Amino acid sequence: MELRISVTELARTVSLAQGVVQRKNTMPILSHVLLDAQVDDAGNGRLQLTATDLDVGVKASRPCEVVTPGAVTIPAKALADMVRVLPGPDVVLKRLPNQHVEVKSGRTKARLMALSADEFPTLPAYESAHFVPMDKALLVDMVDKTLYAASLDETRPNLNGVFFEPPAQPDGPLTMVATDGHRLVRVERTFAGAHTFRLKGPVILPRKGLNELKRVLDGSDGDNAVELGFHGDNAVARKGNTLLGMRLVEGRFPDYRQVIPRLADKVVRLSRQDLMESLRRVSVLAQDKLQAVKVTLGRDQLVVSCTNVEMGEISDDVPVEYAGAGLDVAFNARYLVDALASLDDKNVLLKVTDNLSPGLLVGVDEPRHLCVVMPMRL
Amino acid sequence: MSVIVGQDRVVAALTKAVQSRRLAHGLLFLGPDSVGREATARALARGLLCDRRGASAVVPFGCGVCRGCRRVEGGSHPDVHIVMSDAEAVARGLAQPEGKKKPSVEIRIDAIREICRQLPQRPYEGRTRIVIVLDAHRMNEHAQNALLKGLEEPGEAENMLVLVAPGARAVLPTIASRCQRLAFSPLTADAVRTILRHKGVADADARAARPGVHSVAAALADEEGDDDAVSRLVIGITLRQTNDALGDRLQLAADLSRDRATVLALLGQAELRLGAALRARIVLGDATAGLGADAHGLDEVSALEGIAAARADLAGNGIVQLVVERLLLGAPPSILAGRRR
Repeated sequence: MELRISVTELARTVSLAQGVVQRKNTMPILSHVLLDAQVDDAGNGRLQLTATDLDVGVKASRPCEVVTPGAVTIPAKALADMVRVLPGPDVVLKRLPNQHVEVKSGRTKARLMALSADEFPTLPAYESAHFVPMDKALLVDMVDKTLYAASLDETRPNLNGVFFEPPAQPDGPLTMVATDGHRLVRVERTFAGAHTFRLKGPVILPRKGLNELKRVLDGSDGDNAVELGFHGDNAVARKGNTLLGMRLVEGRFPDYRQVIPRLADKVVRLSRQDLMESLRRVSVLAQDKLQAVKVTLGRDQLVVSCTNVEMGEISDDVPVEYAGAGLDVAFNARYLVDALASLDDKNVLLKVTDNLSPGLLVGVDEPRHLCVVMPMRL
Repeated sequence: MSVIVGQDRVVAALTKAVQSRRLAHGLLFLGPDSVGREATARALARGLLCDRRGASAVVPFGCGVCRGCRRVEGGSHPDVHIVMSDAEAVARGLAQPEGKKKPSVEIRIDAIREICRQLPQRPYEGRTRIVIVLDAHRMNEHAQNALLKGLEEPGEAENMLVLVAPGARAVLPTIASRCQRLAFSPLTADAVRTILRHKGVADADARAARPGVHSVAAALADEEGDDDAVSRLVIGITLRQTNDALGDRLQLAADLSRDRATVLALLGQAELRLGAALRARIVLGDATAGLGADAHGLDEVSALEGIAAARADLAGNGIVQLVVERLLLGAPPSILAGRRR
């Protein structure tokens, strides 16, 4: 294999692989990237880079000048570190006998230890997924609004991701839900083609894969188009010449509909910013882990307070519109802040029933994005 | 391609199971260290993932030359998961020790959870996933219970679990009962010589090798040098239920309490001889009188049980001399009950 490519182009391509390659050392080959240089029928050379940790995989293809077609497997970190500092403007990668790769750029010449390309795992055929075009901003927004609530607890793998349910009807919304058992968020969005994913049922997208997706999309320039599709037990996103695949999480997602309170009769209308600031002030005295704060409702009044036996107490008054009965209910301040931060509206509604039922946060003008937070015992 | 030497019974059983498509989904490879349990587990993985599997010539251990086989051998096949303790991984150069902390000799629950997370998924390349747990007895109780969950819910995916352990009692009974057991025998001197020749060690060097240098060579050196010791050990063990020659046996225990590796090697040889004697007795038809003591008071079954218990005690870091004394002198059941954990 021998190819010539611009240093900046190679650096950008290799950086796509960096989040994917494994840091754990269970299988040495997974800390490598596969570089495959081929010439197509029209005589154009292409470099395809492949990296995977077996859960998430990325394939990126870039035009380059191919001298000799072939493939090689190079340690990802060494390659990335080196490419970043090469003088440029071009770099030549050439496979030498004895599994070495020569990297030549300007007056710099290096030799990297490589592995046989053949040892690299065969990735699923991401390109044969059935793709549905989506708006990049919409997809990133839906991921941003849900991913933070996904569980980090590895003993509950079915919560380590975001539930993804396309609509059955053409005009129905795509639903994404995430929960960690203490809070839950549901986002619904309608777009053309949302019903054409050809899935047999809802799926769970893995947390790590979605983080990578965000990274790839945030780092991409150009138009606002992205495609999302499914192939076997993989979800695949395509952006230009880059394919990102992730293995779906196995298992059943809990029936989230049961968690969303329907009969919350106490509705408080307030400014999102005001409540967020109050919570931040009050949680200064909250205990590190539990972050418990008390919310006291009265007529047109909401008081956030916290008593810490070792340090003292604090309370903060938030101007609200409320006409219902009085109530004391405790929440984890961090969960409320996370939820408020993810809402877009200036004014939000806080809906509660009693001090043992979940609280609901929803924007005044945006009922398709709602956050549920379980209360704490007072 | 690594070869399996001196385990004809295990190889025959696996061949038959693969041919008749009746390979159990959980296998327990039992036997002393360095007799080919791990090599057999890897070879079986090769056979299941061989690109030419199905051809009778490559059953059960694969062709060894296709891409599938080479990746299993090279440790880069995405569907072969080898679980071992951090200490073992560091010793094999597969991991770097974290800071100054001594790597754990236990297999922790995190590693098992990670495996259990993957079990319900389809194998990466769609054929079979093979999970090999080396030194399964190094799993702590929590890890074993976590694994049990994976064993019980195999899901729709094709999973195959191979546990490598010194004895069935070294893992939780709930795990052992869900696996098919395959007992590996200690290696004969000839088998050891064959292995060393494969590894390019000359016979003379093999004899000079000492315990700790290479466990297989150590076994050979002791087998050849201590033929007499093996005989004394066999006689001593068979007398354990009696009051004969107590002084000799105590002296033998003192003589043998040199080091763990030597005693383990001697136990292997004694086990081979007793096993052969027992088989001979069954073939010769003497078994009509049951498998109890024969006319001369020899009871191979009880002796073999004694050896298995001694091996377990040594693996559990028992004091060598005490273990050997217990093996040679026997112990009243009440003391046994107290000492068993």
